Amino acid sequence: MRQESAIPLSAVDRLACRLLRAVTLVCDLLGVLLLAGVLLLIVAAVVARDLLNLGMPWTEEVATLLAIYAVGFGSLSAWVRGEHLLVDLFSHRLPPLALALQYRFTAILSCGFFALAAWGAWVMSEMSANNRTVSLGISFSYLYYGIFVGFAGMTLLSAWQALRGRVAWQAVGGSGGEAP
Amino acid sequence: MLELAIFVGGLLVLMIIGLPVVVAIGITSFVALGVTGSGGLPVELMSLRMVQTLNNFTLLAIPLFILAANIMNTGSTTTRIFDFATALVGFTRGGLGHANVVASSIFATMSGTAVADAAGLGSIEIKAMKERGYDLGYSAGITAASSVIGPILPPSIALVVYGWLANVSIGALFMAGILPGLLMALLLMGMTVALGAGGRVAMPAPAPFDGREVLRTGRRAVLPLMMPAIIVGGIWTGFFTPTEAGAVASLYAIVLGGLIYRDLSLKALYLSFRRTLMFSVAILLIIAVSSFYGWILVRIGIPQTLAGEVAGIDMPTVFLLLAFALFFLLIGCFMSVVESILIFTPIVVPAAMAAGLDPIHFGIVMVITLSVGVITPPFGNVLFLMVGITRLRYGQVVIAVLPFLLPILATILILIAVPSVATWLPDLLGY
Repeated sequence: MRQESAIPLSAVDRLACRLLRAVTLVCDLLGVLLLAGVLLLIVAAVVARDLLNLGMPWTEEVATLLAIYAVGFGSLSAWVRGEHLLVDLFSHRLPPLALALQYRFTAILSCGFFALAAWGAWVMSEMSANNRTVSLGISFSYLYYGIFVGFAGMTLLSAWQALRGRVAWQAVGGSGGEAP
Repeated sequence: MLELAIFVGGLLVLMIIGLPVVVAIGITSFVALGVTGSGGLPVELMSLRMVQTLNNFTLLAIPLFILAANIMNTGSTTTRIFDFATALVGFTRGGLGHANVVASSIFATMSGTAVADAAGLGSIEIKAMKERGYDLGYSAGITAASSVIGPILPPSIALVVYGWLANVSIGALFMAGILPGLLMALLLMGMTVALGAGGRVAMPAPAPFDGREVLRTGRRAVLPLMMPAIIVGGIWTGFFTPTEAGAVASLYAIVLGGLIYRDLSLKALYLSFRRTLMFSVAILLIIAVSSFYGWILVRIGIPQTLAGEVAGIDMPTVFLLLAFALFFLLIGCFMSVVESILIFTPIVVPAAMAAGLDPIHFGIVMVITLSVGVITPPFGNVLFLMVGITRLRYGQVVIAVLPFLLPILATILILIAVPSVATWLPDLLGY
């Protein structure tokens, strides 16, 4: 699902391009902040426990909650950037028309899956409203909202891809996120 | 077995048509749930399994170790390690080849993936080898091969995922990876000696040993070299868990680059975090959706059936493990290590345990054999990285890697024949 890197000509696609840039910027920033929060919380817990003899068991709960939201926001950005892992066996050998068809076909299937997953997350958030976490006592619904954000967002993005095909989202020379 | 063929076959078809792995696993799971269920499609089950999986402190080790490796690759840490390794073993024939393996082994004790090793150290190693007149193909081959040590020596993302899925102590798995990782490093260095002695590869004359240079580069690298001791020592002494070790390693890397060496800018730190986010999200989302896939497998009874069948096979365990290893070597050619572990661990581990195999030994064999896939065609990630770094053609890189597959396969065979290579250290340390 990697996007092209050229400014689109059509007004609709230009709008989508700006939206996608905004989505990646915001999601990147939120994801990075959440990840930094996870790091700081865990280090704080180690220092408090091993050096100050002070237990902070709630940090594990908060850290995993932050990580779930980091996955939610990060998965949106990763979808725009085309960073989700795939096995690319033959698409580079396809002629342009077949490539466009394959792109839309996979976008439709992805959209259907994400919609089901988002729906499931929403149902679970309602069913778990009265279940509370052990240390902090917050509702489990908040955990499911993190998943819902990611899947709902990817449903919209993949629906757009299925309808419009590839959409540019970043100026040439812009930095993408690459796996280490 | 028909269900297994449909389950795995359907998944492979969806992946081959170009669907992202997470979507392919999710669709296969939903289809299986719909076909085998008692009517309706309880879509909320996947979210339930996903949150149960992600709400797990152990899995946070994955982004944290990736972050530590990314930060170290940004600053001068990797250069310092390589310079020290060069001073230490560079005086021998093929010295930079040995230094390459030593540096990769050191870096492997700080990062958790082969790709992090090849991407970070690879360009430094190949540039140095090229400048000193080493054959470019040989340089690419040894750099790619030595990166396979990354997922074997602790910490290892693959071992974290396997341990979590197979319900095996991650600390024990980390310790079990040490001897096979060191054995592989030694055999790779042996191959360099063999290639140099045969005169088939251009290698410059060795420089004389310089003790002062070892001391100088050692002083520069002493702080990065403390990281493995912090990670392994901290876990072994019970000072912190593997996840906490990842956080401490990341913070240590930030302090080294940002405050001590002052070669890690805020922008570079942000980009390291973002790279970590992208890679971790892709893996964690697959892990979360795979837990649903694994749950359906168990619900259908596939692992139980397979375990019964394997337990009924009248074959020495060593041959059984060899058969598993061949299967994983084949799978590793097409799928990434973590994906393969996620898909096959719930299926094969019950079968392996039913046949009397040790889950720690089996896990190490599984991770090593699957890791070979990063340097085998057609999808070896490290091969593509080497093409990018060396500008050699893909086929040239594949041929350059071939001789180094021998020591890697020898390591696997020794590990299969002598299980104590993996189990001795965890047993000794009381795991």
